[in-house]
Amino acid sequence: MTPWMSSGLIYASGLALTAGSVTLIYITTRTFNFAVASMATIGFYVSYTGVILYGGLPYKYYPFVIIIGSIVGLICYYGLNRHLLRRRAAEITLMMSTLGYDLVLLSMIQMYTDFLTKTYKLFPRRVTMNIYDFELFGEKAAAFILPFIAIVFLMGLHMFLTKTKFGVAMRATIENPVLAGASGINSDRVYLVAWVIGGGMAALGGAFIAMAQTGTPVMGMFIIPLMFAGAILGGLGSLYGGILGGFVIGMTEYAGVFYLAQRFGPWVLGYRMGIPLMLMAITLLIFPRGLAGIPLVKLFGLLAGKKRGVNA
Amino acid sequence: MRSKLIVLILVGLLATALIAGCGPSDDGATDEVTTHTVVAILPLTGALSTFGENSSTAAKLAADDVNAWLEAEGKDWTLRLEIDDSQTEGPVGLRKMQSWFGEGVKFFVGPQASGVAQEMLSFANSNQILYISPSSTSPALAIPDDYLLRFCTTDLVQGPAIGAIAEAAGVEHLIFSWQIDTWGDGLQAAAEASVVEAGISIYPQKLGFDPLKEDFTTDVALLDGYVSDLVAQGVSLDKIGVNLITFEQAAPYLAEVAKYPQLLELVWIGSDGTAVSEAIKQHPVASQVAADVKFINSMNRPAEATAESNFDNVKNHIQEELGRETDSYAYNTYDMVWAIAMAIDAVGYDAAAAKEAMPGVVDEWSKVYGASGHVVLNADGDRAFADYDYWLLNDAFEWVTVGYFSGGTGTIEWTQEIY
Repeated sequence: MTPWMSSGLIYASGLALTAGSVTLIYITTRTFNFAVASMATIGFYVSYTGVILYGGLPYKYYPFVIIIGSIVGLICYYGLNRHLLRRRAAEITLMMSTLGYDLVLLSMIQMYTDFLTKTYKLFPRRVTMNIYDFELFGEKAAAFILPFIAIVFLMGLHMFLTKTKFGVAMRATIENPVLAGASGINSDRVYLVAWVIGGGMAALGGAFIAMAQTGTPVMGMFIIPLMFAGAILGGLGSLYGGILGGFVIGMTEYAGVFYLAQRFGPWVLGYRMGIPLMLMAITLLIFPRGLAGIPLVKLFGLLAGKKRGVNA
Repeated sequence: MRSKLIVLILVGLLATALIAGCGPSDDGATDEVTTHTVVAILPLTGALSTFGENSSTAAKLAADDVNAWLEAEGKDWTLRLEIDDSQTEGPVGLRKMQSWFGEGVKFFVGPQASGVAQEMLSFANSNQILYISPSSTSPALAIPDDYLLRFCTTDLVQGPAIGAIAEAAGVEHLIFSWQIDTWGDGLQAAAEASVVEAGISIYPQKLGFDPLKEDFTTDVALLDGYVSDLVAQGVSLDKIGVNLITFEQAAPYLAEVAKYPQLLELVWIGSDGTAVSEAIKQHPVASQVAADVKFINSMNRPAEATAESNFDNVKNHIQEELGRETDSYAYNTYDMVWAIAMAIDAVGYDAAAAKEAMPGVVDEWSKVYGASGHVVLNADGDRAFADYDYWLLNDAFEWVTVGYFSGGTGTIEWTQEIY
């Protein structure tokens, strides 16, 4: 595996989780969650704090990352989103409220890094988490472990949404909130759970991303366009589409840029973020509903039919 | 009910009037002692955060020292220093300047990066706001009569310092990798001119990158390809140099270099953006690479400490506060706060008058007390002359100087042989 490929896998796994978080919160509460940026950064700082103060591998602290991220999501719901939803606030208001929450979180992150600097004489403003990783088959273990964790997490989420009573109720609320409310489903609890899961996903995604890129107090702010790009590429209406969109955007940022720079010269490097965004734009032009709107069954059927035709 | 509402409104209005009356007027003047506000817009986060922390600590020390001096002299004003974060981003720095200007502030310390300084320039010029950068070195900002002063020399002096190192190391082919912004472009051009003059070939593919970039997997993979290309042409690895011009992103960059054994055989040259970088020092992999390849970095050379200069005052204070060796720009920052204070003391809180008075004021004060040495400003408002120290991480992972480049003679004086 080349270094860019392993970094790309780690980064894309993180981006998939954060894009999934954006999508989940949007489809349940109509809220474009800008605070996903700081939620991701908090996830990174939880894992960093664990490693630096208590030692061991970063993976050990991921349950704490999810718990802290969930709490941050819960506070956002109870502190802001719930009140605005009850007042039937417009989408723009919901979105701007999360931007405000993000700025509050960002200030708290800054305070926390100052605390680590002053108290422990650490250097928390620029951290490369992959130095705390171990090697597996001659590669950084994160390249194997993080995509695996992401898949397990998403399978768990899938099981929750399809096999549990509450998960089914949640899907029903997403599909038709009015009807779900009329049939006795507590939409308030559904929204709360969406924020709790979304917060956990965003924080875990941030902890993943910091294994590929330098972790800084503002890392989430720099990556947020790509988190949203992933969600939009996925079609916004589908949780799985959002997750896939995040992964595709993440891998394109690495693989696409590397191949284009080899082909056309290093000037391409200056447009690193633009390349996945261009991919998003082109995909949406062809498939306006994003990746989730691609009629895969129909496409495969068509291809199979052609193949049979050729064989015949 | 209605009368209660009217009473409430009246009480509110009265309270607002009282609060407004108690607050500082203009730039903070009160009836007894005038308070003059100076804001330091420094990169507390972003790619220059180590430098920002050092400089903000130096600025706070300077403000305390200035106020102690004002009190001892029985002056009728005090200095209020506010620190704000530019995030090492131009638009953020400009927004902060505009916001503070709205509160009547006309004197600023910082920013550190040329890109941020450039973003602020037009607004500062049109509103007569004086701001002094400790570390903006881009030749593009060497403009006469503007409101940006710089207590460091421009990269037209640092370029030859880089060229001299490449020549001394026996480099025959140099590959540039730099961050694309006002500072990076200016220094890269100055270094390239100097390297070409020394007869060294420049590799045609140049690796420019986004200054906000934090992951260099792709860049270093391409660099490895370019080196392989040169090796295929018969060039030996020790004749190939890389000039990495960036800030603290150098840490993840060098960490990536560790994955390519042939890159560890090259001559690695940095700049003032990476000299004394805490980010490199604290990074276990990057620091090992920097030490192994003798990653050498030029940086403004502060004057030798004298009994009356504030060199040791700043150095010891930052060591005590942050537990680290500071960079030369922190010394500049200390002098800048003093220079602004001395100018305000001489002409009042008037940025236009202070700009005119500054060269004389800073010349007189700094030749005795300057932490960074004697500051003489040229016609562009930039430091007129300076030497450059060469810094590298030694085997104990401590930043040490191994020699210096004399800006006057264009020669290197080694204190330790490394090539």
